[in-house]
Amino acid sequence: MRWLDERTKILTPVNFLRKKEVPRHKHAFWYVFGGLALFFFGVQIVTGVLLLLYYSPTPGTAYESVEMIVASVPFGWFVRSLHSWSSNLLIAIVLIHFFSVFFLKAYRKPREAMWLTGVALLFLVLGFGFTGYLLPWDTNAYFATQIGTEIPRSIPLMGEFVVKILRGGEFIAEESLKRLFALHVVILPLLAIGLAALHVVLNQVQGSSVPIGIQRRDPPIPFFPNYLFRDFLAWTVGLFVLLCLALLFPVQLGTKADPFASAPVGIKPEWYFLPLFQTLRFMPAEIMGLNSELVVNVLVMVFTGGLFLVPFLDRNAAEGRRSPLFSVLGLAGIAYFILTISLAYLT
Amino acid sequence: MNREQPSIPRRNFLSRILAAWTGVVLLPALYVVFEYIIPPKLREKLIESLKIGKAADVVANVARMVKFNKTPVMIVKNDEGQIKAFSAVCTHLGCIVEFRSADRKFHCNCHGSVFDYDGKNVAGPAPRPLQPFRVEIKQDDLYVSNS
Repeated sequence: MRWLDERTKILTPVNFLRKKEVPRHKHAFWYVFGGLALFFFGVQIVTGVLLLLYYSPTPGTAYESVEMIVASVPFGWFVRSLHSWSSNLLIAIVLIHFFSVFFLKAYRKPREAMWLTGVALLFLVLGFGFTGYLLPWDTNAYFATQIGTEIPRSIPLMGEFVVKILRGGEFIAEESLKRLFALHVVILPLLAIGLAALHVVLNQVQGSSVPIGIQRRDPPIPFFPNYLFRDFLAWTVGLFVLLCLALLFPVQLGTKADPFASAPVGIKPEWYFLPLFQTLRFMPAEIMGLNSELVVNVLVMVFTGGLFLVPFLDRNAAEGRRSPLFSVLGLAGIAYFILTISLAYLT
Repeated sequence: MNREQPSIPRRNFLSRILAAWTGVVLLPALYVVFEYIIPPKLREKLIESLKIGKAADVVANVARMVKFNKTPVMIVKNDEGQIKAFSAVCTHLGCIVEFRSADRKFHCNCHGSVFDYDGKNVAGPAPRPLQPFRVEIKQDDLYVSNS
């Protein structure tokens, strides 16, 4: 070890981790979801690289290559199922982690930078879900991408430009598949790995936040090996759930996309885009004389901007006081999420 | 040398040189990348009129889909024998509509928009009617062209 340390200084971070402690209190359970998100992200990278060995990103071969993975490659169906289910679990865990941080006010000073990187990672993960969805080139994938890349068209001044950049042209075609493929396997992973590394480093430097009003009475938990053991336990549970889902409910491949066929009845996006889908569904064509997509685009941009600014808007939390207004807003957000998803499935 | 004028410390001077060099190299590089990611306009041969087939072969209340350049076009005929053609692209968010003979309307399954037999948007979030195409019958051959 001394030989290694003399050449790499590895003992510096190791000694830091040995001394690191995690606060112990009744809400400490929620800390585990950050590590769980990291675990599923790792699963995505491993299964994604395996799929990359056989996948072919052109409209003429994409569907057939996925068909081959599922039907002919040993355990191909399993790797694909793992990748698909893990993406859903990753998004769910990231949302739980996001809401736990939000309600525990862990974004308050001095952890604003952690919040900013975390919100960016949330949107990156949704971006992974969107870009990866088209890659099998089946019917649902095609129309989901058609809608998702059409929505920005109503943005004033730059809408047409944004649509063209996303699609690689006017229509969903080979250029679109190539661009979304490049985004999914290179650009977004590079951004995500960089941001995730920064997020983790900030967590090591700042430590975990203690909720407002919690008095630190109990001794903290040593990170190594005690808290790490809890992390491994959570990862084992996560892995077990993932394996059950992948084995019992293997992901199916729909019919090959036909750009000249009607969208199938009952078509819906994945659950994490259902709030947006349901909002668009119930919007009238115009709202106060404005195109409803324009209104939705503006609302989404305002919401996104507001989300990034939460630590700077919540002055009560910044000064260590309870912040009931933001808690109510968070509950309203969860309620809207659940309501729209339920309506999308029931209507 | 004027001793009252302070000289720029060497470190500041090198920092400025580095910043200027970064700007000189980075800005053109960003410009090239920006231009690169904008998709080029490819010259494609666009047809102005498409021969579909025999007008008599179009069945009443059964839609037929054809490809007009890159646009899916739906051809329908009513009980009176009137043939119409519309872009099958929903004016809401671009999904392909389907013609339902039960109510003789075009339905978009993505968000529930409905268009009547004249292509007019009558329900749902679609903001505009379906784009119509001109239908011509020449010696019993059916032609579709941009209106």
